[in-house]
Amino acid sequence: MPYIDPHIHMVSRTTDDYQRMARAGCVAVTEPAFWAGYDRGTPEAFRDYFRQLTVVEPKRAARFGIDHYCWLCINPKEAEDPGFAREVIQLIPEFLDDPQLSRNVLGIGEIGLNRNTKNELLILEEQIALAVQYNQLILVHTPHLEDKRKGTKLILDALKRNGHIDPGRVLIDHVEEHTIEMVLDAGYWAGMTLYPDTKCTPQRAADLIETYGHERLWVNSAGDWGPSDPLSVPKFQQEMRGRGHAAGVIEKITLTNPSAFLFQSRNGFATQ
Amino acid sequence: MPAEHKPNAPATPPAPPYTLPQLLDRDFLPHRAKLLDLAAFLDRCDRTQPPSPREGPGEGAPGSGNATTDSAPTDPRLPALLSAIALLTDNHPNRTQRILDALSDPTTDPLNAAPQSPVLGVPQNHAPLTTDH
Repeated sequence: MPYIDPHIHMVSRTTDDYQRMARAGCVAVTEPAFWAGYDRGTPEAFRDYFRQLTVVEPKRAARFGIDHYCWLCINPKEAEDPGFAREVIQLIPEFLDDPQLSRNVLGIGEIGLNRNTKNELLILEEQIALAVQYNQLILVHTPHLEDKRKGTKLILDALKRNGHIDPGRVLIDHVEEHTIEMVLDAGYWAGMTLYPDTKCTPQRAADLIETYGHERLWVNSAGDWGPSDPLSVPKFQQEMRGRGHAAGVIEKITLTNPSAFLFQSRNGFATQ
Repeated sequence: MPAEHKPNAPATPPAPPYTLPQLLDRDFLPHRAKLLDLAAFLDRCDRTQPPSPREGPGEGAPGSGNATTDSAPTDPRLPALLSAIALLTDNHPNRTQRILDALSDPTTDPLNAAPQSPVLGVPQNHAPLTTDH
């Protein structure tokens, strides 16, 4: 069954992963800008990273018939120094304004919070404002483990404070059982990340679909350099099939829903 | 708790397409194995060596000998895990959500700076268990 992995960090994955994902039915990926496992020393390092996301990865994915899209931002883990973060944010418009470089850019992301600090919140608010200014979709990272519930509430408050946000154009990612309801009730889209040890498993994501329905929800692998599985979306499909769910429901969660959300991008979104 | 009919909430989903016997036939043995894994993990905690003086939470500390009764007082992980296990058998619904809530930071204000300690998976100030285990 064809699927989209709407959150995966392919810069951290091997070409073999592209091949295995294509064989499993992946037709498109979207790659948010993230923390690479180390703090980058200069803002210029982000310019190189943004070129990797907008130029290099689309070519690498295309070899396997996979469409590659991306999101740009400074991630919350490297946003604790506001001066540094603002220098990175100043780079983003040159990618949004360039017709060639912006062709595969879907929006601003993954912005959000890491340890729920005041500086992280300040930079989150400034990047929300940037997204509004450039009419961009927003992809939000919610914090890890014990910080998630508090951080999700702070993020929803920050989005509301902006006053110009259409919740239907924002996806709040990494939701779990204790945060999904506040996200959906506020009108946002919600992403369930399928990880081996943290966030959701394919089984718990299927439980959330059975509990909260099929609207404004997607699943992703968030595959990166840590414990993660780039084939977790097809494993979710398999879990849903094993429970007896209709093919149409599975396709909605793994293909139609992400397409519908991403199609709202300023540059549109289309799979082959 | 499942969403009811709030303005932006999704419609109530249909009942899942399987019965309890079908679910047990498919998934009982893997979950029996997970229960045994959890029990074995707690037994393993009991067998650990006492921590060195400089080991602390999140630094790979193996715990302490007889951890379920004498766990290192500064490490909140094992007491929080044992507290959460109690929620599995209290016969109330939404166990997953309630466990996640119990393992969440209860504060609401943003921090002045990022903590030096890593995330542990439990609140940093989790109160130790007072019940016998």
